[in-house]
Amino acid sequence: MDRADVDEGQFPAGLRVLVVDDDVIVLRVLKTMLLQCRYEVTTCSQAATALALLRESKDTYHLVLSDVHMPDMDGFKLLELVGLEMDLPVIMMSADARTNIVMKGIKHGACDYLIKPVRMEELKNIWQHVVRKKWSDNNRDLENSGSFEESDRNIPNNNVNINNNTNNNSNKRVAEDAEYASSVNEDGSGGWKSSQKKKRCTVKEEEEGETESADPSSSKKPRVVWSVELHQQFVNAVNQLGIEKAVPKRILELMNVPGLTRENVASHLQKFRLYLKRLSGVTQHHPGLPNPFCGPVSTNIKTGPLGRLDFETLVASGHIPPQALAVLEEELLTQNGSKQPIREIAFGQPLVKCGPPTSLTRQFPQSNLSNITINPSLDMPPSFSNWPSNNDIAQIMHQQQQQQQQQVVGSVGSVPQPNASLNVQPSCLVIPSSQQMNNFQVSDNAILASQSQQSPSQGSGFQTGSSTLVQSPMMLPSQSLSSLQGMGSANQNFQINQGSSIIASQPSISGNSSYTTVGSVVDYNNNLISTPKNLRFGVGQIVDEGLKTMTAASNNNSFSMPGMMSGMMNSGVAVSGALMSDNNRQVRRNNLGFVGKGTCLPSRFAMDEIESPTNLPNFSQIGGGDLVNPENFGLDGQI
Amino acid sequence: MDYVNLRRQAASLRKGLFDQGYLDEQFYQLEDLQDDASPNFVEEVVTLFFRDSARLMANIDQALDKCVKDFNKLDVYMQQLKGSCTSIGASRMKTECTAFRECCRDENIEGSHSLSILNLCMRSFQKIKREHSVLRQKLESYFQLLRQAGPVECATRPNK
Repeated sequence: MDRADVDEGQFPAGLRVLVVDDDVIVLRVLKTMLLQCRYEVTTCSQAATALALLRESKDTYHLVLSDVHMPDMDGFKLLELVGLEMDLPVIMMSADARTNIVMKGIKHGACDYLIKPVRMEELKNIWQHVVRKKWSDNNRDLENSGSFEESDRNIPNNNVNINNNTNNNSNKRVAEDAEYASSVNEDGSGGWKSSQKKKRCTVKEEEEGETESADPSSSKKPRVVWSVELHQQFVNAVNQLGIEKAVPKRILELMNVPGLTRENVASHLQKFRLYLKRLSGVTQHHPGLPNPFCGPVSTNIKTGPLGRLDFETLVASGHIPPQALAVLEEELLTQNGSKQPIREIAFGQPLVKCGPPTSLTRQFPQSNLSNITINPSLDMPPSFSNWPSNNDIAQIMHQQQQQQQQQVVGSVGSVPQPNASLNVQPSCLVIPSSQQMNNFQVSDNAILASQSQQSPSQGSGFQTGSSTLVQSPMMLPSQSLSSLQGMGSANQNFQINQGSSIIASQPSISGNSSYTTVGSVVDYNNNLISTPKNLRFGVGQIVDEGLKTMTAASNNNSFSMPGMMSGMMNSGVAVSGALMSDNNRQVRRNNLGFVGKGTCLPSRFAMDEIESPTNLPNFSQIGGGDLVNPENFGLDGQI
Repeated sequence: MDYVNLRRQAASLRKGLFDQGYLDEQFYQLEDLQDDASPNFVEEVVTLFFRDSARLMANIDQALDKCVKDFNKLDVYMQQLKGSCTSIGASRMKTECTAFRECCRDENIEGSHSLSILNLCMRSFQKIKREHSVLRQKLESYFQLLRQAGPVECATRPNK
């Protein structure tokens, strides 16, 4: 044993490792080995427990070692969750050495994959992953800061330098939008364009400002650790703003956390969207992929919520009956959407069949978790206080989902089938039946989405526009525009659609509409048109095609939903198809941060279309918190 | 003297275990991990293994008895058992576990002969049980010898 080596420089000593494995023998052996490596070890035999421990305090551990096959939760799911929530390096272990399984691990973002029995020599090197990740994260942050500019420049028709006046940017955007929206109509979009432009300008300015202020040159960006509380604040802010309107800058303002930069929020937002997307049912289109987010809900997670699926919170707050929670969890843990087809579709299902917009539009003004609707499919009447007709919605959704499911799936794949199968309910955010992606995500989206209603700038904004969009993906932008604009609080409402590029872009999306149902729908409109840049959420990545539009479209606002949609879209929404992809790509780059954090979440989907997160240069880091600060474990010689 | 003999016996028993394939390299790793901080580490882990594996095997027994053709479940159990074997280096048991899993998989492929497959699985399981019991016996003897011979190894001072 090279204890001497370990001692030398104290470098990796003190590394805090969390080991998760259902086999007690493995735990015992690994613990001893790790202790001999002078690491600090915590073992647990259940994934749920591990998650709880991690959520309690994200700083506690530097690294997670997890088994692949565990009874209570699939190791890959845990892997994704950890990457998503805590962005810690995760090393998988298994006696299973089959290449495809190992590949799966890599794709899910594992830093490494060890074959059991794990030897001491292998464990001695695990600290490298921690360091590597940290440094590459920092690098990505840097790159990301500068990437915005790059991506902007790369945007077709855009020769504007980001640093230039916003007009240029907006022009660029508009131009891009116009590309997508060519069919839509230029004239009608005149107003839209201008509003879009304006919006873009604003956003752009914000971005630029942020980017610049981020000081890309500072290589040492402290990494932000997204603790449970912080994440909760984030979620609240997003809820408050509404999925569509959730721009990093706004979120940042709402969160009001000193030291947190927009980039941090942006990258986290991206991850979050990706997460939502996955919940919403990416699985539908990617049957082979495990539903990573199936498992966020685990009964044992007492810490609850990171805002993701705060089931616990919901249950606690009485919104979700415990039984429902159990059902949800069970479904989620089942992993396959097979039993709950609806779940898979989740986002695809238009929340409401172009139906009662009003109720839906209500969306959650408050981002409270309570607003989240539990999947209607679960037959749990969502008791969101803010939702006027939860039951109705739930029912509708349920029905929709049932019906749509197939459709959605189909439509998604088919990309733009104009209105084909699109049940597209106005962005009804289809809450994945069992997966409540994020509470507010889903519900918000759904509500918002479906309702293009003008619901007054609810915060969620996206509904307003979305509803129109949803309805007919093909909707001309003008329509959407008007609807959007009509929304009055246009400013509030989903910015995305403002002009709607969203809708316009829809045409290609047709398929999208159905699934986007929820807010995401709206987004996708935007995405299509807009700006990849805005595609914050990682979803863009996945969805590359359709989603991009969505997310991107929303002008940075679109959030969450697109993600979801993306997931769905992935399957095929070719919404914007090429156009989007392009944008999406770019957007992705920017937004990748979340995904890119090493969890490679999107990679699955994005594999073909989007560069896998790891490849993205802009892996915007969440920040600079010292999640894994070298100093923490002796990199600087002190532990 | 006595201790020396005991130690010699223990050593030869141990060597036999390796030579006959009961244990593999992983066991070396375990031994390496044993140190002053965890002086009985190997024995502890082995004890843990036998306890845990006994439990798993009871589950498998039950599943087989019921003639439930849930081969997936059996496969899962066996995977767990195999994992445990791997962790301590129980090489022969591991091999038998692999064989068992092959039987299960065969079943999945040709479901029509599930009954005969079940028989095959049962027979394979018997082998596993046998290996399990033999290994346990040998290791118990080994540790007993070690314990008896132990003081000699640890003692650095002359008899008091």
